[in-house]
Amino acid sequence: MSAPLVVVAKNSAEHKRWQYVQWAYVAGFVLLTPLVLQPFEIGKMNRALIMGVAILAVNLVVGFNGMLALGHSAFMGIGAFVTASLVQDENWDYWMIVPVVLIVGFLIGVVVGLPALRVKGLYLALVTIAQAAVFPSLVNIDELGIAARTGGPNGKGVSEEVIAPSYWEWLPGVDGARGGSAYRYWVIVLMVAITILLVTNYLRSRAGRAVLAIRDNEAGAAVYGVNLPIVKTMNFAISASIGSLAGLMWCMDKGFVAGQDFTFLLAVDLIIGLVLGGVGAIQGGLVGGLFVVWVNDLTKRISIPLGLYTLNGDGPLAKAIFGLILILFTFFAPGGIVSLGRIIVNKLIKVVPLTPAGQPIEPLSNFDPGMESTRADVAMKMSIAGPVLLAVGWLLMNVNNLLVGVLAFGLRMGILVLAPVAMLVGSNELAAHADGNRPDSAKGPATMARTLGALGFLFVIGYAVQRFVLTY
Amino acid sequence: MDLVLLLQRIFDALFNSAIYSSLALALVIIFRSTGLLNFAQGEMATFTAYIAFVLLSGPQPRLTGGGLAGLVPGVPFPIPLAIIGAVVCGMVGGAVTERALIRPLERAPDLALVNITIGVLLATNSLMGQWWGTGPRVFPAVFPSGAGQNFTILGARLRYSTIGVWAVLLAVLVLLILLLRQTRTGLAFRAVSISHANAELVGVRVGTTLMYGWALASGFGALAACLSANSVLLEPNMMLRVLVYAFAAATLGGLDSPKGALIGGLIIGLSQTLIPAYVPFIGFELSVLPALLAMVAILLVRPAGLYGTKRIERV
Amino acid sequence: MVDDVFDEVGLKVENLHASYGAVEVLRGLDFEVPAKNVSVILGANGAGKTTTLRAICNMCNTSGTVTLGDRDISRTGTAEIVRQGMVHVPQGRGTFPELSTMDNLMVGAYTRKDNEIKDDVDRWFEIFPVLGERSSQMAGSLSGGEQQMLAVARALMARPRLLLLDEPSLGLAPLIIEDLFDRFITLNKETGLTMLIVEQNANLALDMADYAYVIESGEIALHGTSDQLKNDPAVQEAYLGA
Repeated sequence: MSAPLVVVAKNSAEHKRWQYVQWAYVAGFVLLTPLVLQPFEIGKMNRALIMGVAILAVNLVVGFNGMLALGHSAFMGIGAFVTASLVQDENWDYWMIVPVVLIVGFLIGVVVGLPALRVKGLYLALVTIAQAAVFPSLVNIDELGIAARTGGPNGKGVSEEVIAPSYWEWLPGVDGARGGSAYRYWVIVLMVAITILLVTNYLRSRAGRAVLAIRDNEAGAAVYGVNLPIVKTMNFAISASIGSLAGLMWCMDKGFVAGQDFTFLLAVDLIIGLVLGGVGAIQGGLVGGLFVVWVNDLTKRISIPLGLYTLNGDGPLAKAIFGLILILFTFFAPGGIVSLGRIIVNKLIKVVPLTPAGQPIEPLSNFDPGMESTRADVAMKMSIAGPVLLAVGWLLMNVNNLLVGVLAFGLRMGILVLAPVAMLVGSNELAAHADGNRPDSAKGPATMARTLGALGFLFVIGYAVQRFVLTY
Repeated sequence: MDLVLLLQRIFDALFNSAIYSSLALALVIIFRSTGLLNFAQGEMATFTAYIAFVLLSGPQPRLTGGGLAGLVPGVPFPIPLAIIGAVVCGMVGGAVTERALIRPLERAPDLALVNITIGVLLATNSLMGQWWGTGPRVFPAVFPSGAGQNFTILGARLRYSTIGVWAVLLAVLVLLILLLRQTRTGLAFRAVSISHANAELVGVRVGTTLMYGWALASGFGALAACLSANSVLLEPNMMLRVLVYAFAAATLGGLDSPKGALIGGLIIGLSQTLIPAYVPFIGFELSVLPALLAMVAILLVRPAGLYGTKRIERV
Repeated sequence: MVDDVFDEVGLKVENLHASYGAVEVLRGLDFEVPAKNVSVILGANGAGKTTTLRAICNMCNTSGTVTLGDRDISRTGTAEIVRQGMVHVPQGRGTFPELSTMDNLMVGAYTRKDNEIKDDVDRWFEIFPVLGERSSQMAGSLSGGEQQMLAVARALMARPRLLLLDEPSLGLAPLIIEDLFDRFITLNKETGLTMLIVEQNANLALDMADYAYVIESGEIALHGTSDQLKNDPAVQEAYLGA
């Protein structure tokens, strides 16, 4: 394995710089989404984020606790119907419903989880899939006023669309013409952020460690005093309440819920998103949600003539692609996109952890190849490749073909990574040269990488700011 | 209570029961040998029903999705031959699935295998939609099932097709039991079901035996699909609902017991028809509910099912 | 009268390595099991005895050369090795608890296609009469000693040329162990069946074996004829409790 391009000590100035770049990208992505996308595309993004929360809920049970519970579509449905009924029939505000949905989801999670978690492995998969399969017909029951509350087979609409109150109109994207979806986007982003924060803290807590211990070795955890039924059920209930929250967001975003939205197929979408994103990775949910929604959207636009026969994306093709993706990922990337991303990041940067005394546990020079280093050359090539790819992507943009379009988009995005990495590596190599660890021949490429990389990065930031200012 | 009506309802339920039993049998064969639930069983079966349909129809490009026209025989097959063709295709498909997708993941966690079978489910379902369209097709009746083609017992009508389906199911079950009890391959299969490692130690080629198991199961699935395609109409999602009932039936009977699959299918089929008829709370819309509740209940009370083998878990 | 059943064959192991994940358990074993002999492998818990037998049968990650008779079987699959005439009775016996005693014997003969299988069943019922009495009983319901006999009889149903036995005395009462080992000796004397036995019970094993190997931390620490080892002070102290 080749040495990573940058080696930094944890929490060092260079490491912080690297993290600032990451956060700048996250912030840029979040800020620009409602500004540059069409309203219907913002709707898709909302759906992706909602799916992301639901997949995070599944992940909490499957990925972090090792329990094969695959029926979270039902919890989403419960959250959605409770919300629809309270808004429409009782005139509640959404923010008042949030705690109600969380509690209802939690209680139902306890009721389902207590018996269900007595069985393990594939049996649990069966029970939870049964739960997903039966939910759509449960909302049609006439007794107990259920059908009246849920709208039965007709579904239930929420008559008032969620739009921004006047004092929130300064939010990016929220203005008169398309305020609705952009405003809901901001509400959903806020809820996603809070959920991820809480889940991260939960997993780091005492309870969270017990959850992970059960996944890694159930008998072992029991021997060390973990109360298996309680920890499993609590975790399942927390997961169910997060799933219900996703349902609330669904109802708020679409303004309409029906049993047919929460079938077994939604449960399958959640599994696909989980595997695609990354089982056992917090970010996996969001990544998976984005991919499930956008891959679905892209396949719908496919139309490839094959002799007598035209492969059309608006039919059932998306399912075949998802099936194929599931199989391919299971075989070749069981850790999902997140693990693939980590492989790339590990090639770029190595963060050396610190001892309690604050020193790197290994001297950074262990990773420094010294005089024979070719990092400056690599960085220089990256700094050149960024603008070149950008230009090529720009040219290809005008070709009217879906695949070329996706490729062009990918090429243009290349500079996002290439420019800052070239800049960081360039300055690192210059510092190494100043210390006498690099030959003089490396100075030229390193300087060029730093300069060109910095220019590229400035361009990216400038472009983003310009888009922001122009559209805001 | 109207006894004739009750009898009539039971007779009507028997047809579906046979279908659930046969698909449950397919699930059981695979679970027994590999400890794996094949969520794609229903879709694989539907696919073979389409193959039978194409064989029955002869070369009509609209049915064969253009590119495949060359593979279709020039003359329409008679029904028995078409079904045999479908069963053979199903067996080959099952064997290929095992070899290509399941065996390489021998040591993978349960989730990976669930993913693979769900992946096959989605891909097969979509492929059928692409080739043959999502609209329903009329599959010819295998046994006479028109008006008047029935026995009348105590005033209730028992259709010939119900008897035919049960005759086929019982014949196949007897053959299966003979295969398991009386043949060398059957013995190897039983050994593999108990322990892969120990079977290997007596010289049984475990991989090959599992492949036979998948072939056998998929053959059963094909038979179930062909027999039911007339009454439920042939379309890509035809077996999805049946699969849910078959899972319930297999779990109820014990996931590793062929006899259990038969009894489980019977119980599920009868409850599906009788409970909505006599319990006002549960309408037809909810007919799936009792089956699933029964499945969950049996898993909680007696995870091995009515006839399954209890296994002791070593920690 | 049964001399002709078993061919002469020997087992030769050269530079055998085995590992579970990153942990190397065997670090280059060399040993031989001459035809018609009983050889025994001694060693403490975790020395790699069981792994040695598993590695010979290709049941774990291995490297090195294993020769059975004149054939290299280092890359041969476990099921194929049985067809070559070497049968392994694993620790914990490896019977099929949910099959009847009879079916266990029949599955033992899975690799055979001749028509003397029934005769062989009768023969083992004669030697182990208790198995005959319980022929239709599920193997799981037999006692530990009966199951061990069943495991051996089942292995012999394949008409092996070489038998690998992994701690046949495990979990058995001393009287039963002696009985069982007597039968092994008789088998070897009467039929010339080659055996490689892994044992913790060194006294018993050395009494019946022709040759013995002592394994420590995945390497052969000592070897010699049983008599040589019995008189070795180190062996006496470590394994014979003298």
